Amino acid sequence: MRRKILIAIGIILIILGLIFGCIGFYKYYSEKKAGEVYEDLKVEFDMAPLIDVPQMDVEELEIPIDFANLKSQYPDVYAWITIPGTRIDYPIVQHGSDNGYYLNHTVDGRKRVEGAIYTENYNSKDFSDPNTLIYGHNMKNGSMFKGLHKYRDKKYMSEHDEVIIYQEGRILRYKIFAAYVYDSRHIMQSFDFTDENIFRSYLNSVLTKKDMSSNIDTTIDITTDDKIITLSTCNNNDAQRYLVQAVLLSIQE
Amino acid sequence: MKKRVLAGIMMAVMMMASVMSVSAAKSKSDEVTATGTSANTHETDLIFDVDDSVKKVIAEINDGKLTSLSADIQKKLTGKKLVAEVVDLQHKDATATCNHEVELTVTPLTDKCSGVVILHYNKVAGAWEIIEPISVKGDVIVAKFDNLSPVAVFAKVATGGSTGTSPSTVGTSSTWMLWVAVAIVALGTGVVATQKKSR
Repeated sequence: MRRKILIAIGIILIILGLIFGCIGFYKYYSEKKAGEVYEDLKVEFDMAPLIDVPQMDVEELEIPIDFANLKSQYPDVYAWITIPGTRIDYPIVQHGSDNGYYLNHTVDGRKRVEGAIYTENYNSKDFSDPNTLIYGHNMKNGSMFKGLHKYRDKKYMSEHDEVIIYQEGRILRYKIFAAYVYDSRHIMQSFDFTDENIFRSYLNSVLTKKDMSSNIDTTIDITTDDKIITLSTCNNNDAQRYLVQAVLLSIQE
Repeated sequence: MKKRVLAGIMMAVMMMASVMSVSAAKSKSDEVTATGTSANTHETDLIFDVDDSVKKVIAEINDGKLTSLSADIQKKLTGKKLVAEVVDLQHKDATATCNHEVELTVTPLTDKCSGVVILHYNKVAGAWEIIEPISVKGDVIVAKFDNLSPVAVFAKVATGGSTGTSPSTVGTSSTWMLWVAVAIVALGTGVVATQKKSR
C-alpha cells in the first residue's frame, strides 16, 4: 500500500515536472523569438535594412516603405520609425479604440509579449502634436525599444542621434536631444502640451536635468514652436520609464 | 520516511509554482490616501471591516464587475471607469464622532478624468451609494460621508489602456529558468519515487 502511494506521488511529480518544463520552454521560446514577426514583415514587403539613409533632395523623395500594401494588410499601421545604425526599425500603429491593444498584440493581431511600436489616441497620426508619445517594450532579446537603453552612453547618443519617421508621401527627420529615466506617470494625461506655458515648463524641466542617468544635449535650441517625439520603454521595473526624446528638424513631402 | 520526504518536496514544488505565479501577477497599491488636515484624523486601509458578502462585492468591483450593485447605481456609473480600487476609509480614533468631510488624494486622477464620483458602502444603511464630491482639484477630492467604510473612485477617462500611468512596456521577466529548475526537481523526485526498491 505504501509503495502504491509512493508511486502515485512520483507519477504526479513527473506530470508536474513535464508541465513546468513545457511552461519554461514556452517562456524561453517566446523571449528568444520576440520581434521576429517584424523581421518577417520586412521580408514580406521587400524592405532593405535602413542602415544609412541619406538626406534626399525634395525632387527625389523616395519612401522605402510600401505603405499601400502594408496598410491593406495591417490597417492600423500609419508610419514607420527607424533609427539608422540601430535595431529600431519598426512600423508604428495606433488602434482605433483600445489604447492598450498593441501593448501585447503584434501588428498582425497575434497576442505576443513584444506587442508593437505604437501610439495612443491622445496623439494625432500626423506627428503635428507638440509631443507625440511612442511606446515599445524593453525586450530582453534586444528587439523593440530595448535599444533605447544604449542612449545612456553619451558617445552612442552622439553617433545615433537621428530618428526618421516615414509616412505615406513624407519623411520626418528628428534629432535626439534627451535620454533619461522618468517616473511612470502617463505623460499625455499629466501634461496639456497645447498650453504653451505647460509645454515650456515641461521642456525646461527636461533640458535642465543634471542627474547621472541623463544625457541631455543642451546645444539644441528647442522652443514651444517645435514638435518633439518621446520614445518610451520600461526601465527594468514598473515604477520607471526610460525616455528618449527627439526634436523635428525637417519634413520632406 | 521516504514518503514524508517526497510529500514535503511535492508541497515545496506546489508552493514554488504558486509563488512564481503570484510574483508574476501585478502588485496592487493603495492609491487613495487621506491628505491635508484629514491625514491627522483619517486613514485608508486595504483590510476591510465588513461582512464576507460585502468583501465579495468589493472583489467584483475591483475586477470591473458591477452586476451586484443596484440598477440605479449601475446606471449612475455608466460610462465611468474604476479609477482607484476599493479602500476602507477609517477614522484613526475608532471612538471619535466627527463631521466626516474628508480630503482624499487619488493618485490615478488627472485632468483627463471627469465626472468623478465615489462609490461608498454605507454601513448604517447596509447598501452601496454614490457620493458626489464637494470638490475635485487635480487628484484631490473632498467628500462628505455619513459613516466611514469602503470607498472606490469612478470617473470618465479618455479612451485608453491606462489611467494615470504610462503603458507598462517592461517586456519579459525571464522566469523561464525558474520554471525549468522546478521542473527538474519535480521530475527527478518523481523518478526516484517510482523506482523499484532493489532487493
